[in-house]
Amino acid sequence: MYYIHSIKKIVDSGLNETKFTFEKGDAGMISSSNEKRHVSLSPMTTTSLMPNVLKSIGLLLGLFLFLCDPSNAHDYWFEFESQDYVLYRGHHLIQHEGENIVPYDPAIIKKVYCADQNGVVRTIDPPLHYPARIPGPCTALTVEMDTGYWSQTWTETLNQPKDEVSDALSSWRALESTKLLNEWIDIPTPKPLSDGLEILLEKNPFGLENGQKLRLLVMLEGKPLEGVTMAYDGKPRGVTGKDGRMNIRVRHGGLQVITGSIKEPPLDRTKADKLIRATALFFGLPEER
Amino acid sequence: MSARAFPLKHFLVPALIGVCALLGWSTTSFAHHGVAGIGVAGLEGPGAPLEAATSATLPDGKFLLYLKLDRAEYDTFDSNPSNPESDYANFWIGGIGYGVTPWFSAYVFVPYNEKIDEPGGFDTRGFADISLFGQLGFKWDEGLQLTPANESLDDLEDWRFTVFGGASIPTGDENRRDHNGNIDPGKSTGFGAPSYLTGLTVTKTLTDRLTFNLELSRNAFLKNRYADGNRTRFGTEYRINPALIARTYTNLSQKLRLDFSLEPQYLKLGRDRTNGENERATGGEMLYLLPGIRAYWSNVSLATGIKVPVWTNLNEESEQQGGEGTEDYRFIFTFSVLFP
Repeated sequence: MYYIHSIKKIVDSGLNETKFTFEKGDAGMISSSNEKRHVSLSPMTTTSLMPNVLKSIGLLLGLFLFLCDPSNAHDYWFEFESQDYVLYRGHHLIQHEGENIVPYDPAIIKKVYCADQNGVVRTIDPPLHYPARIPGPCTALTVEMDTGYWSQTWTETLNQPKDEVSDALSSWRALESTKLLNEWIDIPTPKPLSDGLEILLEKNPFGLENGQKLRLLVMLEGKPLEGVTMAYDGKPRGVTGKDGRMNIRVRHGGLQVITGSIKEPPLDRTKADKLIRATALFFGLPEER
Repeated sequence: MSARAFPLKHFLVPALIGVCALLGWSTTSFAHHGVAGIGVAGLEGPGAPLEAATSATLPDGKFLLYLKLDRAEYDTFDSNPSNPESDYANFWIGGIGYGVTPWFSAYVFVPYNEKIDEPGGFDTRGFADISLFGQLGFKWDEGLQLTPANESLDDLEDWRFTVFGGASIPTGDENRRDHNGNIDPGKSTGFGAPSYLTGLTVTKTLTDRLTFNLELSRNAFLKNRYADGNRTRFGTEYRINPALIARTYTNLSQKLRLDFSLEPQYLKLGRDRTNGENERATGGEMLYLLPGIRAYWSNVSLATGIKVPVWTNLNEESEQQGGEGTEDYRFIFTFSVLFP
């Protein structure tokens, strides 16, 4: 719920402050003007916090994806198991371990792309069973999800189109994607793994120091996309230009969380007021650099 | 020609420069960089000083409306009512700017002056010389480049530079005559001849909330022949204006931002020359201190401050009443709005 809400607000106003920070010890806080929740990384992630790049990459395998569906305040995260990536949802990363993994319908996962070190992308059939297990290893991994229609009422957010809700104040269709970059793919021209909204890095980020810039390129259907609001650790930093590019500075070591979102006209006006595309990019940098 | 004859001749320069300090980043840069409205860049981006020029250029295709009041209250040197001195002056500037490209902005300014003496003195009011002004913006991002159309908040932390230049057009009346029928250039509302302003700026965000700004400029005057036959060239002006701006308060939901700034302003004035001779009681050096406060709300910016001379080294200073450096204080107020 949180993530979709925050993205929607950013798209609508560009003003809502959404902070998303990770603290030492693998605990963090997500907060916005009206929500505040603690999150934590998985045990796998915790053990991966070592002072070198590869282990920081391993950190990412256990990160949560913040693709939280609006109705249940759930987060999605990967856990790394025997070179595979297992997608979970729930409160596991939020407060109480052991009782907070909530099953999801794997049908929300529409496409899965896995790239090797040479940038060769293979499409993986979306898992049919919960929890979705995506075979690895992948140098980069992109998952596209369609969480369907959402309607906001006075009292709640429902995972239904507005024509099925009597008192919808607003409604949207949410198409989301998330990308995990484990290592730099050294090819002359960066290419998206998917046709959906996706964040690309134009230069190798793994040697960047604090204060240096990530050169981002946001693409949709393989073309640069203008007007995507981009955020670092949940804080909006700007929008992409006509060439789909935007720069963001690295502010800290460890997990890097870059998100983007854009509002578009709805695909079906009877069911939603707008279409919201959201995407996230995760990668890790050494804590000590 | 007495020193009294040339007070207040330099008012145009800070007004011209000051407009550039407004809005470019501070309330509009997100619009500048692609997002309608004030945006987060306006609320979190670099600050702007009250008077000194910054390295901000106007957004491509946007207009800026600008109004400034610079009210100078002068120290008086004697209390003899039969010798009225300059009391105060209001220098109003109205202007409009346009972002021709992301890296070039053009401005037109129309000043209106009120120069008021103590009772019994000679007061004048009227529109002064129109000025044209252009500013070219650069930044350093893995090399020097023109200010791009689209930038993030993080890009705004780059070193930024501008070069600027402008000229005044003698549309005002330089031949105002006093009660005795003598032309008083200091009380006239025009200079009679163009002046040329050139300068550069450097701007860098030091921290998330602190911005450093530096402006260097030179303003040179052409010789003018007055109706009484006198030929005068005003002394060249040099300015060094560093500034620190602190973002003090930000309210994202209210689109409100409040900055405090501190501007030491060094000004060196050359000696005026009339008919080939140096004028007494003209020129010198001075240092002002200008603490100010700037508020941003939506696409509007308001700023105010008090400018005080803290050090002066004027030529024949005791005879320069009513000129730069002899103010008690100057009250500065600016209003600007960007559209569409």
